[in-house]
Amino acid sequence: MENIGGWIAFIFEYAIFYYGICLMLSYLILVFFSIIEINKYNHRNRFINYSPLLNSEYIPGISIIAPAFNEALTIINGVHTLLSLSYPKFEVIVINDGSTDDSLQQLIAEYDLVESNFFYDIAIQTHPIKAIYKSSNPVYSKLTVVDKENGKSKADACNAGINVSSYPLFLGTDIDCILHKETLLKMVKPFIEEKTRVIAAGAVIRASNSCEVDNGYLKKIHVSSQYLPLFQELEYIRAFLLGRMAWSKINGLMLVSGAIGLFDKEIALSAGGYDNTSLGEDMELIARMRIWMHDNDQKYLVKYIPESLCWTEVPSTIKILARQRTRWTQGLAQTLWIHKVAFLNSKYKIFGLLTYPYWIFFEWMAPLIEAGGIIYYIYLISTGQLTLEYAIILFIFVYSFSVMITLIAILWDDLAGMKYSRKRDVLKLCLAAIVEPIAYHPLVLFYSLRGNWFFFTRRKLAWGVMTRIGFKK
Amino acid sequence: MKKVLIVDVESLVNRFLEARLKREGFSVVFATDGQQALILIQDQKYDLILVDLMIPNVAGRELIMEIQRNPLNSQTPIMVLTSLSSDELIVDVLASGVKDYIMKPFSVNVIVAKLKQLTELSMDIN
Amino acid sequence: MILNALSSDTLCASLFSNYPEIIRVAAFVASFTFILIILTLIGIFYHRVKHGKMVRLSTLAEGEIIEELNDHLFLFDSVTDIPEADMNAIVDKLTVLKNKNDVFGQSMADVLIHLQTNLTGSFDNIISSTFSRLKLRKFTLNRLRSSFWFLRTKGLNEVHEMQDGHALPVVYELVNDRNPDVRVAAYTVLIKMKTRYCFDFLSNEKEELSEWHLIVLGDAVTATENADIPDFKNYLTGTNKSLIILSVRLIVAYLQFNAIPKLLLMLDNEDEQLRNQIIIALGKLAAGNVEERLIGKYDEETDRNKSAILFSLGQIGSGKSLNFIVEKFLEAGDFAIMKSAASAIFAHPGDLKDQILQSLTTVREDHLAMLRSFS
Repeated sequence: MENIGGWIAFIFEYAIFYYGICLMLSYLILVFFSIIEINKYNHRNRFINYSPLLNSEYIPGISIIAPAFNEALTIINGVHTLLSLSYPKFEVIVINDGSTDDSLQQLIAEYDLVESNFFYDIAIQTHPIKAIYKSSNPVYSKLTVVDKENGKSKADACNAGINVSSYPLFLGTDIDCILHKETLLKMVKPFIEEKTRVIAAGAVIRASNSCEVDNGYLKKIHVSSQYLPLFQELEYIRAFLLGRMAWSKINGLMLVSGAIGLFDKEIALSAGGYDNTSLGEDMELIARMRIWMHDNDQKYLVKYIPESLCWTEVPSTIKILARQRTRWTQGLAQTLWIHKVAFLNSKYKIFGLLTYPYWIFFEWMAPLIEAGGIIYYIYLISTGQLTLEYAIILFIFVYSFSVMITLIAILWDDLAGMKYSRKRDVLKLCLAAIVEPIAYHPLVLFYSLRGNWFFFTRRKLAWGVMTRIGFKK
Repeated sequence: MKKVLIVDVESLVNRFLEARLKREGFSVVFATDGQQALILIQDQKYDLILVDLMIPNVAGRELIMEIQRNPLNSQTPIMVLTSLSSDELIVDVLASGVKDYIMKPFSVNVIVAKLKQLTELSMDIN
Repeated sequence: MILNALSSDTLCASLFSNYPEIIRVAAFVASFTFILIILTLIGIFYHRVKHGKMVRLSTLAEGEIIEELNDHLFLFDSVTDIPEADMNAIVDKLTVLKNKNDVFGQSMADVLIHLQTNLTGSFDNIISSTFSRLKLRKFTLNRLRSSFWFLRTKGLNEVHEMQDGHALPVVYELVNDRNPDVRVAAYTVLIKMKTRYCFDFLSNEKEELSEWHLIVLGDAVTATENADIPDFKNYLTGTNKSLIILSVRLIVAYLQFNAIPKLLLMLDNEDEQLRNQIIIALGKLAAGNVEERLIGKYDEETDRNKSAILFSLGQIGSGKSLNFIVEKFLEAGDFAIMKSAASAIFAHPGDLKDQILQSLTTVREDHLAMLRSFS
């Protein structure tokens, strides 16, 4: 008994502690690589003139694929914004995924849509498409609306969009996202400037919750004054700027967000398209595309752009946040499980030897180990085995590191060009960074544990409905 | 005084253009995106509207269509500014009822001459 | 002082020496991160304040400069209209503004370059003359000599915007720069300034250039009016695949039909991408006498190039290959090939197309659906 107790104490004291040290070191390494990569990107693109791209017939065409389910509040403005993006060769495909509101009727009325004989390739099986609409007005010739039966997942809608698309690249986005005018120009650049084939590219997503928005058009960028979106903004800055840029540098990126991701259609189709059973379809697609490229012995890159190109409304209530984070963790666990063949497999190079193990040990396992650590910490304090002085030191150790990483992310966000119009926005972010480990992180931790619980108990979690406030203000 | 609405994102050149147009007897109003322009044309009739095709929010071609439907400005001559050199696009745009187009980068003297010509023509017709 | 420091070090060492290993590590990390937190917060606010100050100063500078230019310089329609005395007075006023501080100096250069880039006509000369008289070239020259490649590239862009012939010796040096972005910017300058031998890079550049570079170079050539355009077929025999592709595109842009025989020879090249570009080029040149050759190549080609052949036959649209196109349309298993064939049928003139469509009565459902989607 004593031996077992000794081993448990050893594991919790040393193993977890040094696991934490390794995690912190990994963050510092990511910070270091991110800074290099952001600098390199800024140097390359600071003085860029896009007019050669605007006038070139050799630029690759892009199909924008935007699924919509009950988006009556935002759909018209969303489509207007998409149609006004700066790019010489693109189309907008809106997939009405069995909406029960009047989304489709609004589109038909606004854009003079009529049913068309459009013939497409069913490269990926999806729920049936009822009709395809095109506009009778040549001004809206870029728009295609696909009306289909609800497939119970965004993946199914996206696959329908891919089937209908005409161009070699497709941009997956959400209809309620507000994209920067030059999104397509900036995101296509890695595809045409790298000599190795780029199969996917992502960009930074920000929260639009307190931004000044005028009929779907972003006028002024502000940090949210609501508690939950504010902390999520911090998370996004940290994850996108410090995490993903570093992975992009070493071609180890595992996730390109579904809200803004540009993909090589041929590779996405070869890999089988989005998996409509996955709860993390964006991550799962990237994993599958990477595996396919390795299996077929082809060199490739997955890139990231450290520019804020997409603004989206993030959950502002606990209920919606809970559902989102639970689903994300479930999706993560699911993806890691499905593609376990890559784990420490040298055939998959960086992806198998570094990215995949990292995501298992430092993304998926982290909440579990953290929870265990917290429980043991409380146990030690309550049984008097940990003095108050030591308890405080340990607490400050974890707390201060978390705050430091977040503040570095905010600093780098500012240096990299994200200029909030008000100084107090940056002050709000800094204050939020100080409070986050206590006021917000426990929530995220709880929902991660919940997601793991759902995964292991095979409990189904539906997508749910994101309650929109909309952009008419 | 002739009223001109310029719908263009570019600000530095427009400040210079505004000063020059004022000296030529024009009163200039700017909109930096399509939505802003749509609001401005609801309450005010303009003698000429200059539209850059690559404006955000509401695309240039869509804005042109909306101007032509607007009760106050349906007869207002529209001139297009563009850096896109596609023949197909220019032909399309002219076919939609636009009076003239100017390629970017442009000559200020030429723009002023064209604006004068179009506004005089339109006044004659009225 | 040193003795005190040593003793405080000793103090720290003795303070932590009683702690267990984990606590000692935690305390050390916590101290280190605490210092970094303070430094980062200072960094954030220092940068905010500095940046805010820079933005305010730049906005002020820009406003004053534009006002000065509008009120005095741009009253004239061309540089020859400006009396010398007036010009000297204007330059003196602008010099005072320029010398106020570094921000004003840089803003002056940036405003003039921006206006030069976005305006044409007689204002070009006014701006470049003023730029020269204000001795703002030094900013550009400093950039050209910078150790940072992105500044060298910016300097090169400024050289061709301001059509600064005096900087050409430095530009010629940068043609051999180790950074490909700098070299491409240098080639662009030479093309836009219509210098002699500006197309030599098509045979001299050894490194494979990216698609982005090809687009930039292609745009530089086609956007330069009255450039002395060479016979691009002379550059088709090099070893740099990317530059051969660029030459093929320029052959199409300038409708150099005399290059067609050479392009036909290159249809046997082992590189699939190169063959693809040539097939597309032959279609765009609407070269009627190449249809047989394209048809002959069809069966040997990849699916991607098969689609390209059919599409190009449609662009040529002479009618001679219509039966071939229809045959391929009917036997196509691949959607992309079927679509290219359908598009090629519909690209033909009305009567030919109608004849063919009338003959296609007993075809598969998917064929009918494809034809309906085009009509």
